[in-house]
Amino acid sequence: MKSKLECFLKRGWSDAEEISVTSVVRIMGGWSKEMYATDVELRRNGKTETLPLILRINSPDNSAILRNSRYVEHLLLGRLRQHTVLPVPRSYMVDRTGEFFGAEAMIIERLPGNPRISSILKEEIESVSEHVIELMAKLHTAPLEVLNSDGLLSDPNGWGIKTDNWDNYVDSSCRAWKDRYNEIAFDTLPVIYDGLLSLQKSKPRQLPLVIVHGELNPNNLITAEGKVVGLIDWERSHVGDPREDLAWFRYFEQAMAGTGLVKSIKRDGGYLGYYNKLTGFQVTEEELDYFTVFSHSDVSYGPYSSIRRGLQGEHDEISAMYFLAEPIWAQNALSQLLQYGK
Amino acid sequence: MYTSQNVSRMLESVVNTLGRNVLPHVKNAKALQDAEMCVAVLKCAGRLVPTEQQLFAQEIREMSDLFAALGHLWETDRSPEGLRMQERGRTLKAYRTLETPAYKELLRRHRELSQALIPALDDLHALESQGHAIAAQGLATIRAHLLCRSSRDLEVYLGAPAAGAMVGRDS
Repeated sequence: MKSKLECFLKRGWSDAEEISVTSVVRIMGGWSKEMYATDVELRRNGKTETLPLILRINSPDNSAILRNSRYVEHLLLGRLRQHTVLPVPRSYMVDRTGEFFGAEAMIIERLPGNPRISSILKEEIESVSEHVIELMAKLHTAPLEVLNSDGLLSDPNGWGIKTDNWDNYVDSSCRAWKDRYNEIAFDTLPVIYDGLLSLQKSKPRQLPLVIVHGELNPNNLITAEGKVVGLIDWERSHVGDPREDLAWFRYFEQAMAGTGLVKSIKRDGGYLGYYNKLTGFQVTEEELDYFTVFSHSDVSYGPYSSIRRGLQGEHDEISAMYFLAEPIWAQNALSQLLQYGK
Repeated sequence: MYTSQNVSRMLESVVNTLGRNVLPHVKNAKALQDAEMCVAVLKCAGRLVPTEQQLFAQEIREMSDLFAALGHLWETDRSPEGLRMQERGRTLKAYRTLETPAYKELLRRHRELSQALIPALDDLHALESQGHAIAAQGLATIRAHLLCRSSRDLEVYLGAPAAGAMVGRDS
């Protein structure tokens, strides 16, 4: 790995006098990519600096939980750094062809701070939570035409998602998920399916389409001293409704992380009141119920199709068995959001 | 056959040994994550083993009754969706038997009944969109079944309804 990494870095930093990888360690930064923390000594123009970096490599296609482009993530990170104040890592270089590691890969900055939500001090939770809402608001009010100047984020999966207007976005998304239900149905998922059919019939009011993170949750925060110093994992970012990010964050906290960040905000109106004050969007909890079903339909495609491929023998990763827990949670949670029994 | 060293107990023993003697010594990050996932899967298997067949049989009865009820609800309707509801009700109620069939047959019936839920949902939503007065009742009937089933799955597969961090970033 060390020699492959040095070759890759030398290609990207061809003006460097010397590049030396001093350490490279596999880390578990989530489930969707192969990740390594590496320290690199770089000498340029007579000066030497040590750079803390992360190497992100796409997982093999047959077992991948999320299949998406490092190139698009690389471009987006650059635009976010250039046009917003969001604390995102710098992306230094990307291998689009898989020449160096056998799959698409990227090198990004390794941000200092605490990646573990369980380690946030109790007295800092509210401050971190408020900052998350502030950053979400900044993202959702950032100029779409600048962050998506080439349209790469309009339909990153190539599923025919239309983003010319809000109605078309919601309708084309619902259609795409329903068309692909068999790709995720490792077993019958009737609550998920009912949710897909219900989405088009109960659309809420429109909001402007914006760039959304696409998988914002406590595990994608780096914190320090009561603030969010890093927003990471932008691989699922796309043009969407801002309520998707809020809804997913709320759902993930309840269903997966067991944290209480959003509920810790004591301002008037809580986290939603604060978000609405910053954006003017006037989002309601009921709208977030809709968008929980919506975002879940989007986010679940990758993991569920990986489960299906695993159960059909296309790969042998234990994650396929392990992730069977999520649809159990999801169907129970969604049945309540869809107001079963009421 | 042993009753004290049954499958659940064997799985419990494996989980305890892994947790006590193996995981604390695993240094490789991917190996540790995979091992933790294995422990979680084994715990789930331990919960399923004593109840699986019984629950399959119970759900077969519940689904057969559900399709019979939906068929009855639409018994006078002549729309394509209504006719399909009636047909499902007639065909699938035969899966409800007093005795518990052999495991392979149990799985087959459960799978077919579960798969029939999807076209039933398609038909009910279509009927609701067409303005049929009893479509909402039909959807409520199927959703009552799904609510009960998803709550039960939560308990059976995951143990307690308490959320915890999934293996990966926070462990």
